[in-house]
Amino acid sequence: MTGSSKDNNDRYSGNGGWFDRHFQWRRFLHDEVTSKSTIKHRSHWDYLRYSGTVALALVIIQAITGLLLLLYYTPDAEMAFGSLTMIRNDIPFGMLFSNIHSINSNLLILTLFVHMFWIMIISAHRGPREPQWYGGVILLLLMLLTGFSGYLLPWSQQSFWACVIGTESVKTIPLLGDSIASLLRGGDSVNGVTLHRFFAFHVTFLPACISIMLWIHLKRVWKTGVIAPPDARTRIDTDCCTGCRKCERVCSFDAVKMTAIDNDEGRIARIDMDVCNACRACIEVCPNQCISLETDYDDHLTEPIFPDNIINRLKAVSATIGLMFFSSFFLHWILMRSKVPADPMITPDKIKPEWYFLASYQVLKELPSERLGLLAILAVVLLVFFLPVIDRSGPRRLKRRPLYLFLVGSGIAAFIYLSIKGLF
Amino acid sequence: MRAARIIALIALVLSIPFIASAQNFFIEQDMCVLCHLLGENLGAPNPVIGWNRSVHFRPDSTCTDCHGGNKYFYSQIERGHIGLPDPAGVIAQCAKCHSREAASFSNRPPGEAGKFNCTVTCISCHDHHRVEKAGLEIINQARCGKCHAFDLVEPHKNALADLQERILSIQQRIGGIEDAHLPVESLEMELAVAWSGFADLFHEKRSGEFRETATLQAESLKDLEDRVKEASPRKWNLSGLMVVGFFVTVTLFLIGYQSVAGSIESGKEDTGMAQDNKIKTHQPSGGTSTSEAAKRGRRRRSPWGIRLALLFATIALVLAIQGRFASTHRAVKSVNKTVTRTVVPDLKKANERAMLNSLYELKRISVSLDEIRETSTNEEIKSRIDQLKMDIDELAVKILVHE
Repeated sequence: MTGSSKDNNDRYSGNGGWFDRHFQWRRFLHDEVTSKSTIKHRSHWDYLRYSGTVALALVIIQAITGLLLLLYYTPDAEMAFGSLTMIRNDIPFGMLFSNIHSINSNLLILTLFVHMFWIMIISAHRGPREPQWYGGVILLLLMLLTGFSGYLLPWSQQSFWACVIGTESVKTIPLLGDSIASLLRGGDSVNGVTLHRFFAFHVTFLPACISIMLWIHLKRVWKTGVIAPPDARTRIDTDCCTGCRKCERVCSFDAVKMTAIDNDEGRIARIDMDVCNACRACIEVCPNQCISLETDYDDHLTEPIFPDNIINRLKAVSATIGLMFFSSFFLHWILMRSKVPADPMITPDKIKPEWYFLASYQVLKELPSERLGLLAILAVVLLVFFLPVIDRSGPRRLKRRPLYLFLVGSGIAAFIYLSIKGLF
Repeated sequence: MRAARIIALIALVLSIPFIASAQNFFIEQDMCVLCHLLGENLGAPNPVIGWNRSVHFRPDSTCTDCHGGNKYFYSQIERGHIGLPDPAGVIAQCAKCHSREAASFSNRPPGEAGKFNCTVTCISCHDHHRVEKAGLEIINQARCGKCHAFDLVEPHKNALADLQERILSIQQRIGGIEDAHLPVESLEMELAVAWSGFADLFHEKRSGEFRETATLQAESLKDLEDRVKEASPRKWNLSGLMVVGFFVTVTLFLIGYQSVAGSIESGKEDTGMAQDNKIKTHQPSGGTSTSEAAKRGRRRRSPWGIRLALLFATIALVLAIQGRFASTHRAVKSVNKTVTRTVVPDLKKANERAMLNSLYELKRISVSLDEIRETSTNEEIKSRIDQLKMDIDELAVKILVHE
């Protein structure tokens, strides 16, 4: 702290007060945010690239409303339904927070599905982004489990019997099915102990796992950056390249090849455009910044993170939160809340799971046996999880991958079709 | 004569299904009906026909409930058939099912009929066989004027009519709140307590007590009206519009900010003052110049944000208009000023009366606890009372939900 020349290093050397001295937040902001750029959207569909940010915002809202509800909810079979009725009737803004929590959960899972399908479409599961994909699939499964556990907490007829069916289907798992079902239910049937367990899962165990996976996922995303559009390619400035081979070593797609220069005085890197996935790993490692992205369009491909990219993300988040509030205030009747508390002696006529389980529920009904249905569901989950292993290289542009587009499109269409069929 | 009786009996047997109005529980009824339907010694109006048109005409209510006896040994005194009940025992007889009403009517424990200075009993107003749901119309000159001047009764009737009108208005507004899919469980519980109290007020004969109770009920109705007003859908809709409007505004602001900022940034790039950009973009050879590219970028700035914002604004406007129309419509639909025949809501289930009684008792206990809490200085007692009141509320909700 000698007060010498004011170069960039001194600007961020902790002179900004107590917080800056201890946490160096100004240097962090400069190094990680304000001095960096990222890919920007070009077309309307590129707004889907912000689905991850939107999902993160919805998770935060879900946590806040969940904490508020936790202050008044009683996880007891005799009192759960009454406590929720009391929250909706007597607690100021209780009805609003209850609606937000319910609607936001559905919106969050919808956003996660959109995020996953978008990543599949633009093939962002490949290359250095494989850990993000694995973590993302695990996150989606954790969110689905959180939704399933939360569905029981109102302890209404609808939620009670949905839990009965859900935990009953677990029994078809060979060898361990009965034990897992017993562990989930806390006994042979769904009862007050089941409510306690699901409450514990919903409030402590699952949020903890989600937090850890989310941290890992975001850290990896921040490290590798956002993927470029499928039609983007990488170009090496041959005049600048020194042949250090760092790009060749880091490329996951073997798109970088060292080729001899004409007079055989060394080698320079060249990119195989058919194989390059524009993952930008080589751009990050090149010491001379000889590598750049190119597209077939003449638009600017990048934008500064601050303020342009942040504003774009805030737009998407703001619009989504507006939609969420609109649904919470004016469309909350779509929740179709049951006004009857759980009664194990009375079986309702129609029991439907939440919409995100309708497809799997329908699969169980369509196939001859439940065991076969569970195997089919497991196969789909494993197929999705190991997608980076199955689809690891090749062009990303959809026009050049009709089969992949057909398979992904069919999968999405089948999911939608089975969900609609399960609803009726 | 004997032939006529036989023919009458055969005709009666054949007409049973029609008399029973497609309800075949007559088969389960005692044989009293067969004789007393065409009996000559029971006078007019015929009690069986009267009972057929009453609220007591149901499978769980039979002649033997009041007249004793056994459906197989119907006329044998030794089997308990008492015939016409003792007038002094009417209240005790009705109290077997309607204990609350009997207690509030006699202001003494049920069964002690005749110990008050008035010969009015249940059947004085409700009739003995053709028992219908009582309404304010039973308070009239013909009925009440038999014993005393109707001038004494008229203020009571007016007070009851006023209370009924207010309760009906509250009921209607709660219906509107329920139609808007907003929670009404607490309000319905309060409403049920109000109806129960109103029904009890009907049976209060002592003028002083009547006035006091009517005043208390009017005050509690005022609280309920305020609560219903607070819970109105209009407030909810307005709050929703404000919140959604805020986020629409924020989105529009960000779009507008970016449009302006984008223009400034393009200007900077034109003059070579672009930001330090770690990821360089390559313009393909033969492509357009930077400024033209920037202009094309501005032109191609997505209109989706504005379209979405316009959509939200349109929906908000439509909802605002709809909310205004709905509230106007409700204001035009005024509360029915005429006195209706219905004292209590259309209570179809047999145990709803018991539910209302229970709720009313819980309300009285809650009020008593409030009084004790106000006078107590012991914090532990206050805390215990608060806990008891929470338990009472939960029990009341359970009763209401389980119906």
